[in-house]
Amino acid sequence: MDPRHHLPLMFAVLDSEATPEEVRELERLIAIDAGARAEYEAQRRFFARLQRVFLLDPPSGLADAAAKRLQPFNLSAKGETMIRNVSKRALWIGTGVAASAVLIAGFLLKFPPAGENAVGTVAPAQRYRGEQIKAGDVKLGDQTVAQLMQSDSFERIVRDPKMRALAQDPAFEALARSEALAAILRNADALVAQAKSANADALVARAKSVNADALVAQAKSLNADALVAQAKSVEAQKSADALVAQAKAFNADALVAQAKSVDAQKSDALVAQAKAFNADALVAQAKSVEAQKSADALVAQAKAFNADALVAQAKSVEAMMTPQAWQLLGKHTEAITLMAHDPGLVALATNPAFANALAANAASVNAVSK
Amino acid sequence: MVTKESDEELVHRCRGGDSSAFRVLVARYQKPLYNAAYRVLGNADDARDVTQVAFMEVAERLDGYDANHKFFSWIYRITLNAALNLLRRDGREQRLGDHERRRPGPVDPESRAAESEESRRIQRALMQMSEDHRVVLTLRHFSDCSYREIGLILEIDEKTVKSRLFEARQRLRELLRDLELE
Repeated sequence: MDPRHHLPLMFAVLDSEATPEEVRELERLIAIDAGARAEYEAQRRFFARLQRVFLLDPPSGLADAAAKRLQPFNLSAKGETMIRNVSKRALWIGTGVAASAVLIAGFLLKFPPAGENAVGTVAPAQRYRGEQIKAGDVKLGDQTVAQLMQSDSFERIVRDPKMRALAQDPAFEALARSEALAAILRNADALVAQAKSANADALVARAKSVNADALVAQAKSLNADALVAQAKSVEAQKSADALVAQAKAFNADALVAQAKSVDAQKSDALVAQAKAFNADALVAQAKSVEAQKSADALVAQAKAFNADALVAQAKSVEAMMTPQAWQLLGKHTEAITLMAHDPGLVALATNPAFANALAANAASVNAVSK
Repeated sequence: MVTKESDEELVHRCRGGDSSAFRVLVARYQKPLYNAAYRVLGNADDARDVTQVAFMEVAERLDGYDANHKFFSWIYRITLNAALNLLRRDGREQRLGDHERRRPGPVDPESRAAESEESRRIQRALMQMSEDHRVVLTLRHFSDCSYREIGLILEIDEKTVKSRLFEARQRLRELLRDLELE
């Protein structure tokens, strides 16, 4: 008989899965059948070789890196759930407003005015005194900016201590004055289109270079079902703008349609917001979340990405994000979150006229803020 | 970190907001999960990424974890799914590992070199196999899972585990014929 006929029995014994009866059966077999004995010996050597395959040590820091992202467990279970929900929403909305943190930085850098003269001067009207601006300083030519500066949302942001702390960071100031950022804001769609043509390997390398390797891996591991699930979860949060942002990230017309159906009355505004959505904002959000050590936020953000979004992210990183900017955004997560939950700021961040005017008049804007 | 607490006890503590319990789970599973991912992916960087992602997935989904099922099978399943998704997305099956670290073993350089070469050849053979075969061999031979445990992880019955292992071993032996002739 072909000794391989007994392979299932041999495997069971070698796998330590055989019953005592099966072990005795094999012992009897190899005692009387030379062919079976040779086959068993060959299989035993084969198993032994596999057993000697190296057991690799995980890279140093793997456990630390994983633990770093699990800080929400420091909270109570209830609190953790709350934070997670907030984080998810903040992630989506934040894609539209993180850029606004940069945009308004020019206003906030020197506000409220420091020094002795500043004591007690918190009346909003004093921030925009006409006499503080010299003729020619401002070349706005666009009433939208002025109107938005006078909005409640703008006032609220510039008065918030967290936002002021964010704005006073020198790295933030540098980022706000970035020409690359202005270019991105002026032509976000073209940037994304360009990014889509990027080489995938280069994208991964770029993403890894900004310490988002785990994020990339997770994004790569996503399948369509996971993305759909994510879309549904966003829908459940009644967050139409998030759906639009997600749709843009996925470049999926069906999701855009879904987003519009969620809130048909606001569809135009939502689409506008989605267009304002840009990858650098997502990157900034990712870094702030990473600094916040929030695993669920990272996971949520990773789910928001597909390759195209990551390419865009890589491009935007290349275009503008500096290590100082990463550190800064990571230090001011509360401020970012605050903005993410301010509908007025969402409107600010997603108003093309506002963004374009700021980008075209960066010097003037800074003059205004002073 | 040494603890005799069961996985289920640690999970219970995690759900109560105890971050130290999660660290214990990470310490307990990082090596087996990393190795399983590496054997399936054949690439150390990808294995690291997938392992991290698996832990994040676990953290994200811990509230929904069904305590009626074994934690180890759940976390293995998450890891392997992440690894397979990565493979399918990138088509990296043929890619070989770029480095391997030795576990404590023979100390003389010649033995180490021979063992290293054999390990690499086995990995090369694994990467030529189907995903199903590679995964089942990984779980049995490199993760020391029983038939029952493999069935739980892959959500297949033991009979299927045995037949898949049978086919996988036959195939691997063919691929490793040169090894056996040494």
